[in-house]
Amino acid sequence: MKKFVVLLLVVLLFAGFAFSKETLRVLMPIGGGYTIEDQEAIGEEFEKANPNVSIEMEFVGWDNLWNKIVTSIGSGSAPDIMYIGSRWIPALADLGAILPLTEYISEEKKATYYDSVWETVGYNGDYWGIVRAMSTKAYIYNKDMFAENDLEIPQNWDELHAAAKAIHDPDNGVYGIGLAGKRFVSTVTQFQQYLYANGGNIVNPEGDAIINNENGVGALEFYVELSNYSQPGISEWKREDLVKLFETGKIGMFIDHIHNAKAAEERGINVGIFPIPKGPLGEKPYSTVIVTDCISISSQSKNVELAVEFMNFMTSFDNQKAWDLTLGFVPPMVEEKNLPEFQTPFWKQYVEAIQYGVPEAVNIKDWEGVQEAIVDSLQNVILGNQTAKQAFDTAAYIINLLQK
Amino acid sequence: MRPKTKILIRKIVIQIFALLFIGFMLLPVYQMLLTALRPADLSWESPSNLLPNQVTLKNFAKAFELVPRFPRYLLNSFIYGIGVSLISLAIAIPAGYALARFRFIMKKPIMIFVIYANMFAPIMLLVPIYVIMDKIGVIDTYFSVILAGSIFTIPLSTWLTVSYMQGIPKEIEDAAFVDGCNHFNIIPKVVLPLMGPALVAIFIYSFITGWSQQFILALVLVKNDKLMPIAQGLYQFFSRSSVRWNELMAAILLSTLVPIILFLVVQKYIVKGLTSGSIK
Amino acid sequence: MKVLKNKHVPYVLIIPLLIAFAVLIGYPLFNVLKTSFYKATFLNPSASVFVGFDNYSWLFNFKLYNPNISYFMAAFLKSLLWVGMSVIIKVVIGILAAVMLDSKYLIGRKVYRSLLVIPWAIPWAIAAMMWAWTLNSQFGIANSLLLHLGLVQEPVSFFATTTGAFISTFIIDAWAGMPFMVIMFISGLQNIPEALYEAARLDGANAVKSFFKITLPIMKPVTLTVSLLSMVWTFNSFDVIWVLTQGGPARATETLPIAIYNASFRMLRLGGIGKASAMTIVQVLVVTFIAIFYIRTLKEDTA
Repeated sequence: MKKFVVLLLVVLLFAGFAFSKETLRVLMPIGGGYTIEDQEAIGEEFEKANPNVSIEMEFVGWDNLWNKIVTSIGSGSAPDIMYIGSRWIPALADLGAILPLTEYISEEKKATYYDSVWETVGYNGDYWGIVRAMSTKAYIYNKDMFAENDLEIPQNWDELHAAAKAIHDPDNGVYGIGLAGKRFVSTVTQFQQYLYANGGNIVNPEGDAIINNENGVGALEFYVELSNYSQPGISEWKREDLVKLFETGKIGMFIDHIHNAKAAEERGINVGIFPIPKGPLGEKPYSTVIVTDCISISSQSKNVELAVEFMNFMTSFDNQKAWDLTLGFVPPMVEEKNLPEFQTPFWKQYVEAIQYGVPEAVNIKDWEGVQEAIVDSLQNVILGNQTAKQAFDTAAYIINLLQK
Repeated sequence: MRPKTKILIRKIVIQIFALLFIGFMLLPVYQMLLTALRPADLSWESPSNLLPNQVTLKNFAKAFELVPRFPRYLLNSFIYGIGVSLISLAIAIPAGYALARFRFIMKKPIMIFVIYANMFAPIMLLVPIYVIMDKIGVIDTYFSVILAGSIFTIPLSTWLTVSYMQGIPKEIEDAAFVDGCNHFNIIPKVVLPLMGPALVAIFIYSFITGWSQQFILALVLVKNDKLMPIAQGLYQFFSRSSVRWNELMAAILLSTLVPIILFLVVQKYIVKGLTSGSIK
Repeated sequence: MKVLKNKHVPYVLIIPLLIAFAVLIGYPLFNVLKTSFYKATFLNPSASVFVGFDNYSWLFNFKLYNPNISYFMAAFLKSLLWVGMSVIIKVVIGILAAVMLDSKYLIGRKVYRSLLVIPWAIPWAIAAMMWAWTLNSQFGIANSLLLHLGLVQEPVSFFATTTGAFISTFIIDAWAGMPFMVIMFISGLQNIPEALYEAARLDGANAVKSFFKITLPIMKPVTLTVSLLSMVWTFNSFDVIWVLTQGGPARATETLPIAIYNASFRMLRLGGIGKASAMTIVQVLVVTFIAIFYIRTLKEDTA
């Protein structure tokens, strides 16, 4: 028995040497639709095609992802491949944490995606990631409520305001529109929809804060005006919770992802979708914030070639298509839009929104800090502590500090 | 008024107020039970129905499905709990024995420091703990959380040991010395059996603390999802997606059941220890 | 073993504790003091620059969201008020509840006491999630109760306003600390000889009078000890606020622990662990200050 054990150990030891593999460490998010199995499956497939490579995936919750990335870079133990929110690119690029990928992206690969998709991963003239997941937003509305009040689909903010007002019936627990105002990540994206629809932005191409210009202040004023016809106490609601209000017939409309439109439909709501209409100062007829997540390569990677190979494998047309369909993301590749799955009335609205899209964060060097400043302003105005102009002047001051 | 009526009124008044008080204390617990045990649809009525109306166990199965790592988080919390309580017992028992049974220089300052240290909370040492753990390269390991967690259980464990030891008559140990024990093997042979229930109490106290109260330590020291303790794992679930309250409450029910039962069992020892703490 | 003399025994037994204290508390405290004189971020703690007392003047000069008061001072003052309110609730309600639960007129005393400790065993972060749902303005049972009892006409959004969130969080904190308080008070009450009340009754004192004349004076030392302890714990409270409001809305619940966390790990450019360390030093000083009083009351107790 003893001999057998020794023998076994020796064999195992040799086996270990004989098949020593190249390891690729990959950091992946978990939560918010991302499952472990789906992602590990891709790694296994790649291992099958490349027997001498071993893919080691580490999963981190979205709440911890940013901290995990920056701390592992600080301690010199960054994974080869990191899945990141594209809004973090400027900060990570400035830290020297991720590699510019422009030279690794073939013309062919480049043509696969929309230009506005590439914009989300650009900084300082380089591309720093390949988009893996994308979302556009649109209004999800209750068709029955619109019909009862003889409402047409709003084409501008006045009509939007009128629709919310018409539906609003707080005595019966029905509110015109669902809005988010909690101190939370998604609150900023929710507000940005209005900011961009009004032709505003957080910073200009030079990186200076312009959130306090008339587009920005106008958007904030409108947001707060709308809150008169929203569910009460919006500063305790985050976007993720609004769908429950919609599913239970308590709000007439709200801005969200497609999968929440489907969820509400399954629960028997007569759901419709319409694009986000422009504000008084907006130029394009419709608007949406384009949020992307991308795959980037750590500057500490010792195996960049292999990492690029795996990155391309992950984002191949077939893998990307499967990914978008399982998770309900808006397809970032031009070809995907012709797939029969994306021809439904719901999907069409989200896919068509891409052409009006503005990236979530370009040239913002400390997204987390900017986000806090915007939420604070938003809440201060909602709670009546400050006027929209005052609040955004403060925000602009802070953003300029952060952009230095 | 007749005295009997007076007493009756007093009884009724006290009963009502006691009910109100305990009702407030258990309000969220009731909300948890209600939400965990009723079908998801019934949780989205507004205003909420105060009775379950229908009982189901589906939420529990669904919780495992939505939070696939749920068993893993529970296991992690268990590991943190055991690790923290082993470290604190290993240090607190000999130290508590020494403080209770011997006179020596520095005894009083040490005792005072034990009490002082009991007032420390993770937030006060968060930054240095992070810096030190980063320096020795143990961020994202079980070890870092266990070590950091035991900082906050060692003092009270020591204090509790001292106060129990003071309650045990010294004669038994004296007899043991006559029988040939020395000061070291007397601890496992005589002192530990004497402390019996108290020992269990201290163990459970530090286990529960390690199991549950290290939210902020894990927030800073652990990023890898595989190592998440249950409170963090559930918080992640709570904060990102649109909250599935029924499943979340089912998961909370499962994960708090054991600590609550353990705590009910040992609470009187902990209370006794806390109330008899002396620093003579 | 024989070489070891009896007088050495306690030192050998106590050494692990001393080492643990030195390594786990002493060194971190030294480290936080040291870091408070450096400019450093958590990205790379080793690459730090000595800046003297800059971080301490930052405490009083750095204004971010409110032009009238520094970021630190705002959090510090908020903390004091928050802790004060929470401890007052815990003490006042705690004593009253203890008197009720210890009263011989109460039926089912044991059941009440067992039920009371349940919240104690629930991790604070998890308790906060339970409260978030209980207090949900649309679907929670708290609002449902209030509506059914006719106490409000419309659902209350507990966390939507600055005052509302501030009050809700300290009440929830008081809730979490309540079982400990009540149990400590009950054990204090049990030390009061019944004869004292009998004597008072013979003198014609009613229940209220004997509460003020007998119970309170005798309970004073226990109350003092327990309040000081609870003050420290509340001052360090992080989980409840973090889970419920993350310091919002409009920074209304950003107490010192939350500010320390934000400065350390979230304010990448404007904060840093050097500045957070300076804040931590203040936190440690406050705790030490309360601890001194606490240890004094303990000494008097046992004298």
